[in-house]
Amino acid sequence: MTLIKVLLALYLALVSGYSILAIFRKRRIFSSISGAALAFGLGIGAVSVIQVMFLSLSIKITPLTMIAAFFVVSLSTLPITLKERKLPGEKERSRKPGILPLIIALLLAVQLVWIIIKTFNYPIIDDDGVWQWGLKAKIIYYSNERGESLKEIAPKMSLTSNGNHPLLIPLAEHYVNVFAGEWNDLYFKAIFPLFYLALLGIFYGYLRRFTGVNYASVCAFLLASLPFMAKLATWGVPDIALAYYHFAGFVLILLWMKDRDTGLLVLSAIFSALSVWTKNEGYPSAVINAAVVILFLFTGGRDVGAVKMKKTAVVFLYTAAVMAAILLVWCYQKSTGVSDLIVNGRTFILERVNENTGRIPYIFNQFQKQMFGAVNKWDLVGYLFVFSIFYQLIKRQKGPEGYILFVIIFKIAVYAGVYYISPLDVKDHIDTSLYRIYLHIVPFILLYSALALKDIAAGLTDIPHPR
Amino acid sequence: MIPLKEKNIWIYVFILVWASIWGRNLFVDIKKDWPDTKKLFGRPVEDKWEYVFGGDLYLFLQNVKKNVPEDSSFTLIDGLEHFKRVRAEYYLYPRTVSPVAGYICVYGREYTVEEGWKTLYNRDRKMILRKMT
Repeated sequence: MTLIKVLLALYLALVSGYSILAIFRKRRIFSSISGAALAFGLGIGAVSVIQVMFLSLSIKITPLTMIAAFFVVSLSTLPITLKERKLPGEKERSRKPGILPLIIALLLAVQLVWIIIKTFNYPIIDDDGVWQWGLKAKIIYYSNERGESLKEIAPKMSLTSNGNHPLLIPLAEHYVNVFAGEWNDLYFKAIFPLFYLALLGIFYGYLRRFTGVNYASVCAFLLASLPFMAKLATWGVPDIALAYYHFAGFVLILLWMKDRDTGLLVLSAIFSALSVWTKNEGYPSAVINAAVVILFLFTGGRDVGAVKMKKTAVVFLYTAAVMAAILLVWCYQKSTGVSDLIVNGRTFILERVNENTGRIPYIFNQFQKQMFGAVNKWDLVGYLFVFSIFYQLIKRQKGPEGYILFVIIFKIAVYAGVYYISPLDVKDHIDTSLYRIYLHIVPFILLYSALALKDIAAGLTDIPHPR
Repeated sequence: MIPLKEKNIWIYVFILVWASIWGRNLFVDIKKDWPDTKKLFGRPVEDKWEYVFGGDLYLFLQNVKKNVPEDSSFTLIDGLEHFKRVRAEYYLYPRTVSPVAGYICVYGREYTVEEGWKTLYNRDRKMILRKMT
């Protein structure tokens, strides 16, 4: 019975995600797979925002109040959904799947079954999953039972490690247990394999549009089969969610660059904002996405087409949305009264920062080990990336690869910079986090490689560029 | 069926090699986890916690749960490794750990009896629960 309630909770989140997506959706842009993947992330975002509103107004979160909120969301988007249904959809391409996508779907199904078994075999036990994210969710659960408001809950987060970190994941975990009707250390872990699937869905959906089913499914399989990616989908840590939100926000920008549909940009801003609300690493992720938009609009010689007149407005709105998200999350973080472990009064003491120059070789070495040192675990992404860069330099293909490379370099630079200024013991800090934050970069690396090498796999890329 | 163009044969070889090694890794992973999976699959969450904590610690935590009311705080004196302590604190929430509290919970350590505290549970003087009187 509890399982049915949990499935209902997840289903309702997905439906509300679809309702929100309907506002921006253009049938020709999202396939059913990438549409579902986006709807899931939007649904979890909606779940989290609705709960923040309820907690701020001291409204007790129950399945009934959540259903009422979903009803309001769905109802308010109903006219747009109905209008959308009447629109002629894009003429479906020949969708007869070949043998290769079917084999890959089968392999992915095996992988997914094992991930689900592993996820539910243990209660949440990873250090960060327990002490940081799980405990935050548990605090919210018991506080909500007592009818406490967000103002009363926020200071209690000091009981957790990194007490000031954002709440998207704890609120999603809390939501699942509210529907379960009891605190259960198992069921709420369901959201993590779903984020894994959603990330694959976005990755596959984007590539499928530009390279075809065969090539996209092969590349999605490469991403899905990475051992650390599958592991992190079972541990109950939100890195897979952050990787998803940032990647989805970025892919929507790439789609906007092609289609010039402002709706896509708004949707991307929402995903960027949700990445800020997922983890502290979401701050640079959202800023990077805004930087990509600015870069695209203001790099000389580009035909900016329909948005030419609104260039400044677009940049202003996107940046404002990201800044608003950052400000809101920052306000919440201040309300916890917990100072950040990394960015605090000790971080920018010039003398201490200057002393850290000795860290540079160590940080560099750890990054290269993370990217190239796990050959025995079949992590060849780093090598594929280097090969793709050289191939791209020789071929000089035109496409979004430059922007993807920009994001990868920016992210690596930001993370390396944080390790450089961190007041924590750098060895300890890197040991406990680098393998997780690498996951935030890997989908970009694989997307870059997939696009750069697509003409090597010419027999697989069966769809020419649509525009 | 996708036509196997001559120039793309090595791509299929690459996919085949990648998939084989992925399959091997998955098999090794499944083999490694199989005993735990067999033991825990479909079991209630408390059985899984018992397995994670180990019998002794789980028994102690059950006693803490039974004797320390929710929303109270307790002092935890233990010889636990960091990750076990973190899990124990999480497991016991909404009971919270505090250096000064109305309950003292001792696990895995010798502890001298003081006056003014009532013993609620004592096993081999290494698992003790006391309440301030």
